[in-house]
Amino acid sequence: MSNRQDADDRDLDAWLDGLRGRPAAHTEAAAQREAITAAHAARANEPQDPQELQRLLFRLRREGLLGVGTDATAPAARGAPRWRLPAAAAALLALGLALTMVGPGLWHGSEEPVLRSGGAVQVLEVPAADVASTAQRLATALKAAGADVVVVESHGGGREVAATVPAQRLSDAAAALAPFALKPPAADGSLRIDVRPRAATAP
Amino acid sequence: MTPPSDLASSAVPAVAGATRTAPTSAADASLVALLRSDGKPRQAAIGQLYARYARDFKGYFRRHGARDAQVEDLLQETFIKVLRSIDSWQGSGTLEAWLWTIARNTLYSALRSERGDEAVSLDDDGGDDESGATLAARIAGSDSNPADTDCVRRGLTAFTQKFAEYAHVLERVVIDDWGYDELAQYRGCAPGAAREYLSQCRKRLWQFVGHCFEPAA
Repeated sequence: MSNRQDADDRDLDAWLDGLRGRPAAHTEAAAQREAITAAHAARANEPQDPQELQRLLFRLRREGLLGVGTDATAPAARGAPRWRLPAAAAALLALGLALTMVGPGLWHGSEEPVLRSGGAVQVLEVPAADVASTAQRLATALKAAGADVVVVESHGGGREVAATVPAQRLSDAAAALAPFALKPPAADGSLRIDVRPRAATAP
Repeated sequence: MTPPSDLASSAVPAVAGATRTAPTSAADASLVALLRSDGKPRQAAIGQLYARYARDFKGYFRRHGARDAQVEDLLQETFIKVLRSIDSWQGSGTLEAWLWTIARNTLYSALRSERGDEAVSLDDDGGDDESGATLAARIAGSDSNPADTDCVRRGLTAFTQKFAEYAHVLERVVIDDWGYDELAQYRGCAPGAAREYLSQCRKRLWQFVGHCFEPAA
């Protein structure tokens, strides 16, 4: 390798070291590093859509990539063809597709509260025989208040009512929830209500 | 320009010819273990991954010309590929460079799909040197005071608009401390080729900011 090539290589290495913040007497790299850092920092202040993570999780769930704590979602099963999935997983997939047709931002999983960007879940306990009808009445009332609503069958015979209320209809939605003794939607319009069968009391 | 074979054939190319295998950090190993797990731990790991990379991934897609409507879809596709590939990741190189490779390939696939059979390249070493040089000269000429502390920033902005991939690589060097090996892993090439790529990157950048370092006449 020629001396010139060696010198060029050393200069490139010094420039790279300077960009990486290593001590190097390389004015060019130091100034460029500062400019690049500033540009990156400026982008860090760009607003983020708070619902974006939720839409991502919805998509991953639809793709069968989010487990629900069952063997069907273990690593080996995740790689299996869909026709081999157990019936429960197939049902979950079908549910995901159905929700897709309604629109993003409505699905809230049942596992991981820290990942949700929507409001807190409200629980409404009713007699077991009234779960479905109560969820339906809730959905109807919320739709009348301008909300997009999805009702999902949950574990133990319950129903999860997930809704997104337009900002200008929040007060209407609050009025619709009042007869059920439920709180108004969150400020971002998200709403989750877990309608559960009331536990039987001992005789 | 014919795209590199790794981009065309695989979402997760192997490291080609790297002389050093960067050790996987304990934090990365932990994150990978969680991504390979199930249920809540996996969701928590996805949340971590999102918090750490989503903004940068989206910025990368935008700088390469993705429209707003496409950006979120590309982000989701990237995460899908990560989760589908995580079980087969061998731990060679760094997790970060591996993730960026997937983001790059996702973008590349989308561009190919959008443009049909038209050859697509994300690289900035295409045949439009003249227009890049012309733009650089215009930027240099528009700076009334090259000694201005913002001179380099203005030049960098123009450079990023013209050479998105070079700008992305420089950002990874500065922000994520990438060296030749990480760049080689990301590009699926030998470290020597990565060095040459970085040299070209530096020359292009100099066209846009070099006047900032020259003494005033």
